[in-house]
Amino acid sequence: MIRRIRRLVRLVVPLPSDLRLAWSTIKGNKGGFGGSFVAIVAGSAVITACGVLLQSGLGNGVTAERYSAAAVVLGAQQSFWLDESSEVRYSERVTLPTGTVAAVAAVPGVRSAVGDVNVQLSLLAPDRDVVSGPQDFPVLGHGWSAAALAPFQVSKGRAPATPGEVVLDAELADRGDVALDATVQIVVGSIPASYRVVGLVTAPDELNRQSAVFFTDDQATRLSGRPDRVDAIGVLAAPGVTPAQLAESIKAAVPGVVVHVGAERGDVEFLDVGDARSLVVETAASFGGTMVLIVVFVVASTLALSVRQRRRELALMRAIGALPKQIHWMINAEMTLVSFTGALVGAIPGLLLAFTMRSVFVFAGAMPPDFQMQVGPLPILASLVLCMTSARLAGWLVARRVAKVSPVEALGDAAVEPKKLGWVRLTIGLLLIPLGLLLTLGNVASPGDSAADTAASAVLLFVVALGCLGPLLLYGALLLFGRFVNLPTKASGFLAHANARANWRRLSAATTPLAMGVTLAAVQVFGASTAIAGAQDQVEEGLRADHALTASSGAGISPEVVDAVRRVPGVAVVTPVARMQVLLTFPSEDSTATKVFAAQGVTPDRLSDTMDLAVIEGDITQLQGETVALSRVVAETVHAKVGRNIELHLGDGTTIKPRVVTIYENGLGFGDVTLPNDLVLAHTTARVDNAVLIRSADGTDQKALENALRGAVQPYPTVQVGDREAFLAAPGAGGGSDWVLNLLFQTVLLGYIAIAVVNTLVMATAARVREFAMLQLIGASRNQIRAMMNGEARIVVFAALLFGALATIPPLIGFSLGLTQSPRPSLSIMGVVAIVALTVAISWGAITMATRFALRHAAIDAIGGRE
Amino acid sequence: MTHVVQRATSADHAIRLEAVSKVYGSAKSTVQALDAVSIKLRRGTFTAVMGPSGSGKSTFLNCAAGLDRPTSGSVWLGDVELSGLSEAQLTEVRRQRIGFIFQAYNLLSALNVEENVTLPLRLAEKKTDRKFLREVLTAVGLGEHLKRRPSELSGGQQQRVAVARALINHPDVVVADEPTGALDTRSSKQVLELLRQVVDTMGQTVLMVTHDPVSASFADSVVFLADGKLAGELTRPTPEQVASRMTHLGEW
Repeated sequence: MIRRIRRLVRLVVPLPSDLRLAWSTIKGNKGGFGGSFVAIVAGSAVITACGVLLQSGLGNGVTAERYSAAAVVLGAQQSFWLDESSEVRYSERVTLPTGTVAAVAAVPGVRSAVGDVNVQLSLLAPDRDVVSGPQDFPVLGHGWSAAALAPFQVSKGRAPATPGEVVLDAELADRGDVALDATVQIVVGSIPASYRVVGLVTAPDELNRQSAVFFTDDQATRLSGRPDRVDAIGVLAAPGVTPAQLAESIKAAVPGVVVHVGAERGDVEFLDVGDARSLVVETAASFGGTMVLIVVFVVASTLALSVRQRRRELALMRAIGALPKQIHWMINAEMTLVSFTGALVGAIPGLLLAFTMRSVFVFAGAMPPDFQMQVGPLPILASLVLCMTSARLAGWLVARRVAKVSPVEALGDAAVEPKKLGWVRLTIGLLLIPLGLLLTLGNVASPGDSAADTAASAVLLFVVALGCLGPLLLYGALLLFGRFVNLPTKASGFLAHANARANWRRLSAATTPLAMGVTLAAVQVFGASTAIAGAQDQVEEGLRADHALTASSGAGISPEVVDAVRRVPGVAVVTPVARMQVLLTFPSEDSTATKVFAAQGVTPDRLSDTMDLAVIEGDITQLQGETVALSRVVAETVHAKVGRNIELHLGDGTTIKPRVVTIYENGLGFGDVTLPNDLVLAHTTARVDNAVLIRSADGTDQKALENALRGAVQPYPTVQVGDREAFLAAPGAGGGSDWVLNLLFQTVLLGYIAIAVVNTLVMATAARVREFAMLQLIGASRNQIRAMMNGEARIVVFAALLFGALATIPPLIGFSLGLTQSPRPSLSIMGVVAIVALTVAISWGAITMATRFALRHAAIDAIGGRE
Repeated sequence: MTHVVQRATSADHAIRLEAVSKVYGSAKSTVQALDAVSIKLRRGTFTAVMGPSGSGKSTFLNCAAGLDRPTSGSVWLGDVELSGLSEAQLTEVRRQRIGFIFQAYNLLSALNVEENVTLPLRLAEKKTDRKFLREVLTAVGLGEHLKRRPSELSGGQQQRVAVARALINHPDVVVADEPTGALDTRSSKQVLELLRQVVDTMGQTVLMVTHDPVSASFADSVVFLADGKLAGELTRPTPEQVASRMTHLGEW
């Protein structure tokens, strides 16, 4: 019994004697374990980075500033929950009915409940310069009663008493050089108004993410444009009531609110932080999970390679009486040592990687620049546990195979390469190709996926087909093209070709994953470049306006400005454009699915004169009331038809069921969903347009018109008049950050695959010490050997790029057809160069390095078998 | 056969070592691996080198074959003095004048018999003399296995392919390092008889390092090394003579 327990313990925790033995075997096999070690270090780095991101996402976020005195902060449900665990954040602030404030105030334990509104505004100092918030964060207006939630203290002057009076936070006043009793202009939307500064206030802590302007409560409500809604409710607790107790009783008494206490209060105050946290947690968790699987796979494959090279040693151990389980113990102990040190070493680059990923998130606009990273021991510990578990799992998988081999069998020299691929593998690979072609070109998108999405995801079928047929494809390519890649008239070329033909299985262990990586990277990069080029083409083609209004600061352009420019003589058509993100819920198989799309709100009147959406079906002038126009791609995705109704969630969470009136082509450039302008305005936080497109009447003097337009917007200091280029330069239809993040994760993932490929190449090359020695002794110069290995590297590069291209072309054509109806995807030259350069760097670099390593000993020493 | 005769006129000796010394190590601890060894191998002879472990056999072979540079003394391969040559020139000389046979790992598994045998010519960018190739392969008894891969041959057959390859470029000398070390008795005998035959019928010169008295008895003469110095020579020895001499030299 005790022995059995001891044995069990030994499987989990290696004995010190096992570890000492393992240390010696590792020292004796540095090359072999190097591969696994590198794989674990890199894996640990990625897992640590994901862990740090996850912890930061789950952690504090940003401390509440204006709500720091509130025990509990109530907000509306800001997310659409796809299922229990995954959410989609709404793009606009979801508000609460004003009546809730009274309901909360009635809950026992509440001292007071204050409804808060955020009015996005631009403050103009007396000299008409815009005074911005700290580090370009927004300036927000609130009702005076919300000042109690920080609490703000009046340092000079008094509270606002009439609609024309405001109180500024002291830092804002400092920045704009605004003194007490000065008159300032405050622009809400685009509408300026004059206010007298009657007081200055300071918060208990510095305001780092905003500046505050306080109006009277009534004026704040009026400016917010929603008299019956509040953004959030701050609750002050009665004496002796803890925030947790208060939260419980409010939760029980008031339905329909989300209760936040502690650090979470910042999520309500700063929606961008909440968005970033939700995104970071989601992506880090799913990506980290994938990486754990890949680490197991890569460590297992590198380990398998090194164990295969130690087959004789292990067989010898079996021959001198080691039991299979003792082999298990040995490999177990080795893996424990390698993975422990590897995981620890990887933690440091992991922290760096976490910060690199953070800056990519910030660059993509998916994370505010002041997002706090939390570095604690937990991610490192988690990475340690995960790496050690994966390595031990990998070790167990490999040891199981080795330990089963009989000693006699293993000692016999079985250097013959297995010639045949399993027929199951071949059949699967061969069947996947027509299936993939059907998916990419056959227009058989399933509900929930556009034809373009389906084509892009079909790449996975081709990648798996590559995995199955890779060795065979390499063999075929060698027969067809081998002679051209390596000229057989030169000794080095002849040898490279002969080696490749004889060891095609070994070589395919490098070419196959490399080709798979090339395919994944190429589809990602060229898919993005095709989409971007398509969007540009559509905007270039479809934008018919000759002038555009944009906002230089603040949220955007108020509807009043639109009316003002409509009255300018010579203006034929004015189209306001408001943007938001919407969710579409549509039936998919047995249940429903929900997806996010970029939406724009426009007025349909002579729309094609300013913005030609390239209508395919229906009548765009009917875009009034509860109606919607969809791009062809989205209509295909959600299986919508003209005349039917669809379920749509607006940016602020409101659900509507508009009728589809039009299907149009130019969704990439202008937005996939087009709604009536007033509908979008009513459901955005700031209730303003992002831009206004203007088309002049024929024969109008452009110069005069421009001056007239400037005159018309004169009363609106934040509105600028520009030509159509101004609209092109303005932030586009959105979705821009997605591809940056995709690229980030693809890069990390492909980088990891690259490590596996480099490992395979280095270990396979470094193991050829004796072959190189023998070649030298029979008359080959080192240059000839290097040339031979360059020849083999050429084969690897050629095969990886050839197969990668073959597997990339069908999905890309399908993607381009689905997205833009043109079969010609847009290949960015930079992308092609980068992919080729990386492939060359990985394969040629690894082979050259390992060849140099294998040639470092004198030939006569190397051949003697003293390895 | 005719080729060899032509070459034999250029010099009497295939390899000549004059007062060759080799010292390994740093200033602190030095090892005198070879101590003023002088020896001449006549063309068309089969010489075996024997000695206990650490006697300098390997160093001797390396110096004689131009793989290692002596600390002092000179090495002549045919009419070429090796000491003044660069690494590239040495490679060139080895490629033209020496055929190597090792204990194991002689052949490239990727190449078939014919390709393995002609590999030195290919590396030297020379044309293959088909007639001589057939002659050599027939001599080693593998005329009908031209297209086989090494993995399809027995250990003894593989060593015979290695012998054929060592002969293909008409070397001044064939250098064999324990060529039968990994073979069973029967295969060993075949390979040694083949080397004997190469010397007798083709006029080749063979230099072989071995520790096996039976192998050494196939040679015309056996040179003994001990502590880096020459320790006698036996001509046309029997295995018993060799064994008793080795016993006198100490442990072997």
